[in-house]
Order: sequence, then C-alpha cells, then structure tokens
Amino acid sequence: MNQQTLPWKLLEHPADIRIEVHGKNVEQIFLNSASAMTSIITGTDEHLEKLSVKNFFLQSDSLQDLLVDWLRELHFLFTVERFVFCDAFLKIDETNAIEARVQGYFMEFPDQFRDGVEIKGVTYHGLLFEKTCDGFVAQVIFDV
Amino acid sequence: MPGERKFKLRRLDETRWEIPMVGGMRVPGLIFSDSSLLPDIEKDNSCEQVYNVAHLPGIVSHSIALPDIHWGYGFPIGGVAAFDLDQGVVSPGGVGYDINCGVRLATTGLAREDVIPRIKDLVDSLYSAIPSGLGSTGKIRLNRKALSEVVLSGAGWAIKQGMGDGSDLEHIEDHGRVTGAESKSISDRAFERGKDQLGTLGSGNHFVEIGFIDEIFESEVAESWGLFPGQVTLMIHSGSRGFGYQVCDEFLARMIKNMAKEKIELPDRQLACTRINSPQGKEYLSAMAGAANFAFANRQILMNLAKEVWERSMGLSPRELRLHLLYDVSHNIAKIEDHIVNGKKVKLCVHRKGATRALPPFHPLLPQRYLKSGQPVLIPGDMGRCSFILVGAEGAMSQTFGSACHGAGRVLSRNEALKRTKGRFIEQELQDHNIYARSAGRKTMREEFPEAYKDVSSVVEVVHKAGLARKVACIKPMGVIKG
Repeated sequence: MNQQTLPWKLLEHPADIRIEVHGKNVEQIFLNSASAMTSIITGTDEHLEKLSVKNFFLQSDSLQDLLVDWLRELHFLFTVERFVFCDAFLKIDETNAIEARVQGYFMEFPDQFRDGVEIKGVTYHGLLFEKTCDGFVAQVIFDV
Repeated sequence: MPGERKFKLRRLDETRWEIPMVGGMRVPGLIFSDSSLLPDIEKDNSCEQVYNVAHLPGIVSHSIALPDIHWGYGFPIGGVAAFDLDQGVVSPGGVGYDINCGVRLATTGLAREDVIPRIKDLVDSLYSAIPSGLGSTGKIRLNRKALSEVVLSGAGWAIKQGMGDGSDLEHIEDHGRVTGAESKSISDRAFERGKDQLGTLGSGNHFVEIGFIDEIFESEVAESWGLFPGQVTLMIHSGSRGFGYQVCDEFLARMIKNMAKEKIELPDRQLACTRINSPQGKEYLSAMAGAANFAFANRQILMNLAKEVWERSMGLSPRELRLHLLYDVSHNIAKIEDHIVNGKKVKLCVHRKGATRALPPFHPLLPQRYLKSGQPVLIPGDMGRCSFILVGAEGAMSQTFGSACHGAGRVLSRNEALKRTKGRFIEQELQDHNIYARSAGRKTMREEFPEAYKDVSSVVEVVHKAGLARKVACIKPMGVIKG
C-alpha cells in the first residue's frame, strides 16, 4: 500500500492504531475514514466486486462524535455480520445526522483476512476533526 | 513529553517517582519505575495520563502507575486508581475495552525433556483446535438465554458443562465470578457480538504458551504451590472478546455524551465517567461484571480445550498430564474492595487497567490454599524471553491498593515493529532459540516480536524491590500460539 497516494495515513502510537484522514469535504472524510478502518481490519485494499447494500441513519451531538458513531456502526457490521465496507452514498446535515447507503460484501470464510488487525473499538481519544485550507482533516485512534 | 508538561517528576527513591499536586490534581501521582525504565515511560504520554487521572473526583491517595505503564486512552495502561464510593467516579476507560483481560497459569506433572521432543506436534495440535485470530469463531454457540447464564455464572458455567473441575474455582480470582452482573444492563449488541466468541483466543497480544519453570527464587512458596524446576506449564492470555469490547464501547459513548450533565471537568474527554452511586454507574458496574464473567468462562473453556488436545496429542491420560490450574488473574477490571486509608477501613472502587491484583498472606479474599503464602501473581513477558510468577506482598496493600504490574508493556508501536522486522522471519528466529510459534495473523509475529516490549525482568524487578510482590519463579517459553 502506498501511503503517499492514499487519502489517509498511519500516525505513531505505542499500543494502538492512529490514523490521519484528509478530504475535500465532510463526506469525503467519512468515506476515507471508513476506507482506512477497513484497510486496517482486512489488511488489504483489494475487495470483491459483488456488493450488498446496508442502509442506516445516525445522529450525534457533533460532527466529531458522528464520525466515531459512523465508524462504530461499520465496525459492528464487520464483527457481527462479517460485512466489509467498500463505498457509500452519504447525506450529512447540519444537525449532525447521517443517512448512509453503504455498499460492501460479506466475508466468505473466517480467516479470509490474515493480514488484518482486530480492532476492539473506535475511541474518542485524540479525536480531531478540523477544517484546513484545502478541505478537512481528522484523526482517530482505534483500540487494538 | 517532558518539555511541554504542566507538572514535574520528583524522585522519591530507587523505585518510586512522584508527580506532586499542581493545578486541578486532587491527589499526587505515583509512578513505580527505575532509571532504566523511566526514559521509555517519558517518551509517550503516559505520565500526562497519570497527571490527568489525578483530576478525577473522589480519587483516593494517588493516581498510580506501575512499571509497565504505557500510553492508553484516558487512563494509562498499567494504571491503578481507587475512588471513594460516595464522592467518586467509575470510568470504563479505567478498565479498558477488553474487560477482564487476564492470564491463567496451569502446571503439569511433565518436565521439559518430556515435552520438547514433541513440542511442534503439540503446538500444531493446539493451533488447529483453538480458534484464534481475526474473525475466528468458537464451537460453542449459545442463544441469548444461555449466554445470560454465562454472564451471571462466569467460570462456573463452563465447569457445569463439564469443562473443568469444581476445584478450579478456588484458583480463580473471585472464584471465577464477579458478583452484581445482570443481563438487563447489557445490550443486545453486546450479546450479538459475543454469541460465537466463547472459547476463542482473540488476536494481537493474546496467546497460549507452553513453557517450563526455568528458575525458582523462593523455594518454600514454590514448593507449597507444587512448582519444580523444569516443570512444564500452560499459560493463557485472553479476555472478554467482542462481548466485553461492546460493553465498554457503549458505556464510554453514553458517558461521554452525558458529561455536560455530570458537571465534572475533565482534562481529557476519554476519562469520561459517572458517579459510582448513580444509576448509570451501577449499570456500568453490573455490565462490566457480566463481561468479566464472560472472560472467566472463556479462559476456563480455553484451558479445558488445551488440556484435551494435549492429552490426545501426547497420548497421555489426565492422571499422566496432571494439568492443574495454579491461578487466574484479571488485569482489566474495577472492583469494590475494602482498603485501609489513613488508618480507617473504607470501601473503594479500585480501577486496574493493565494491573494485577496482588494480595498478601492472610488477606480475607484469598482462597484457603493461598492464605499462608499470598496470592500467585502472573506476569507474562514477550514470547521470546520469559514470564514470571510472583507472590503478593504487604507493600502492595499500603502503596497500590493491592496491585502489581500485568506484563511487559510495549515500547514500539505496531507500525515501528513492522518496519524494524521487515525481511525478518520471526518464527525462525524463535525456533533458533528452541521456541516453536504459530500465529493466525500473518503480521502478528512481527508486530509482537520480543523487542517490541520492555524486558519483563526489569519491570518485575521494580515490583519486587518496591515490595509489591516477590519473585517466586521464572518461566521460559517452548511453544506459543498467537492470534
């Protein structure tokens, strides 16, 4: 995986996994964060073509918290339903609500992702979500 | 980092450093370390986290850090904090995602020379039989009702199903069951996440290890525990799996969202907490107890599975293997305990996050077998060097609310470990030292390579010198399974 061409990168953390995500707008931050988490959990950026769809709605107190809730929902879908995120259509509004139509696929067998890392949870620790001169930046730490 | 700090570190003696009270700290910080370990502790934000925890309402005596401390979220890993029940708070971050992650150690009647010629077959058999790694599921699939019984009964549930002996409960912290668990305090999502994970090892730093007693430091205690030089042991490190992670996740989210109502000012949002005696505090402790019981059951199941596989693999009867549980300890938990503070007995909520209880002789919570000696304290190291068995000492009660360290603590991030081991074949390096290792994850061996961790001998030396627990024996690995 080439970190320079990807819209996210790993930052140093002694025990857990910390990512920094860039995007032109809020939706892109959400999509890129999801791609980053999926890349970490599966250990790969190559995914199946066949896609299933999941729809859900979330609302939080802030955009930062919404980002955590969004990643938490995807993480839950992966751990319980073995659903792997690929892409999504998102509508995020000023009430910090997200309508998501997520495309992905179901894991085919238990040890399919032997290069992946088990994430225990998406934390609020060191959470960052800021506007930059050319878009937005976010940082999230996953407990592993 | 030292230059940007709002506090100072003051050396008290050979093994203790204090963060004197400053600003909003309610108690001083107390870091157990020595000069060799302190530079690594200062490299990350763990001292800052000790300082932050000292701000929490109702904290008693000190915000404590043990010598394996490293940066966690909110609370440091390797931290202990005790809170008054009336004024104090409970925090999921002070327990950790993996509620009741812990270690159990079993002894056998075998000597190293009995096992080493067959270690590869044994480890391969264990690796095939024990579900481990990302996405792994166990053979035990329970409906909500049955899982609720696990949540209430802990290790006792597994024993009732024939996975172990009733006497095992005497050798598990709290007899393998934290009281106060109620299914109604645990969400459907947690049950969903845990429903097929009983009897699974997990991944990352979770492991099953076949080792042998390499050195004995206190022969009287070792003999009373049935330990002998060269004796083969089984160590299991695992926790509450997705069940516990989900409980922590949900309560953290709820508490963070409620912080404005709590009127508690925090230097770090991840210290989100609630008053112990509040409805939410009681609900969290109840859910945490349930998750802890899931973990006790999990380790009991894993030990039973390992025992069966071992007997089959080596063609031994139970009487020939003589696998007996020495002890099982939790190192991520919050407990309501009696302690002496300023000469008075008080009930406190003691948070141990990456810290092990270490009860001295004649402590009322000790089972009969360990009343005279004190509690076995199990400290795993990395997979290349060694682990330790210690015994709880009186110094722990007076300094750390009856706590000792839990392991070695990471010094390298996973990313840095992968960089440093690029092109290296860690399995072969271990084999060159007569350690046969298997892992489910392809990167696990490199992420978990020995030098990614502090030398546990140095960590244990501080604990020993500080009088928290004394060294009884050192175990060296022969075979390891990692997730």
